[in-house]
Amino acid sequence: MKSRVIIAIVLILASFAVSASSLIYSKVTVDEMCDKIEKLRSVISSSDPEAYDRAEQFCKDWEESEKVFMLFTDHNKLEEVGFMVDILPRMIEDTASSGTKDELLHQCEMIIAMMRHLGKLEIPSLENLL
Amino acid sequence: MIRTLLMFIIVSAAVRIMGKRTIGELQAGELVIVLIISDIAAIPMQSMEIPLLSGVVPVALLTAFEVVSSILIMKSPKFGRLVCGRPMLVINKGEIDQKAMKELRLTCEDLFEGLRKNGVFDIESVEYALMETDGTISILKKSRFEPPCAQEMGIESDDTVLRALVVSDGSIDENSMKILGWDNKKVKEILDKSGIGLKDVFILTGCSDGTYKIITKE
Repeated sequence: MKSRVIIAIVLILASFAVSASSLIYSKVTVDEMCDKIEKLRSVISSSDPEAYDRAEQFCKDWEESEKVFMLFTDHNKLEEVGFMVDILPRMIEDTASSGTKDELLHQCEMIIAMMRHLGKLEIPSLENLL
Repeated sequence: MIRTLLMFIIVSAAVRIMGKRTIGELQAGELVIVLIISDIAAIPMQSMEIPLLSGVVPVALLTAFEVVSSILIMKSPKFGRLVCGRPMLVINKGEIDQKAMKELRLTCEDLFEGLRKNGVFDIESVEYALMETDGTISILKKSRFEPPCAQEMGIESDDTVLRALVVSDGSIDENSMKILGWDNKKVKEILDKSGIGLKDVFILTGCSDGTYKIITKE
């Protein structure tokens, strides 16, 4: 019986650790990603030629984070965000030739909103619990 | 396929941790746990978009809760009654307790089925019938319907001896030897005496009084 109690305690602690780390990771990463996209947004607004490189870097950063997110978040939701992030560098290229930034800025806002939503999914709030 | 294998291992481990109580007759709380676990385990197996961890963590937690609640049931009779309920008499001193049957939502057909499962086909022969917490019915027959035991008939009988399967199809069961208080030396002695090798033994049953029976392979 003693060994079963130990296993039960270990399982509870491990589950708590997994849940807490996923919560912390999503909070930290979402904040970080949103911060990066906000900066990218201001670079785009100021028509800085650095925007494309920054968008590429952002894609790479997101791909790295996505690998961890996949362990605890619905893959469909991640794919939606991933798709929006992936097309960002190409949109910057297109904007450079056409000159209209509104759609690009809107895309950045959409990514921020989706990421914030992704972060909220893990929070043990009343909305998520019910 | 890998996910299915992983979930199979995890659920098998969970059932093993929960112990033998869960495998046999289920109490109300245990039935709930088993139903939820089977449902949760199936989701990440079927849907690739659901992370495996979202199946593993709830299964681990439910297993832990089941172990904790079974310990609480053991330690606290009040908690046990709250979770499992308590056995109720449905036949008391040969009389059917209709009030208890109504409370248990037990139909006459259910009662008769329970009696038949106990080998009783005449309700007149039952003195007491209890509805157990796992939903089974236990009965005590009226003494005049019970077969007499050796003591009542004044027959001398040896004390009951424990029998165990020591060798099965050429392989020794260490657990059976432990139960009987035997060791490998004892088995070797028996085989030497019988003039057969271990590989030739189909069944070797041993008794706690030291006697044994060997059936060789054909």
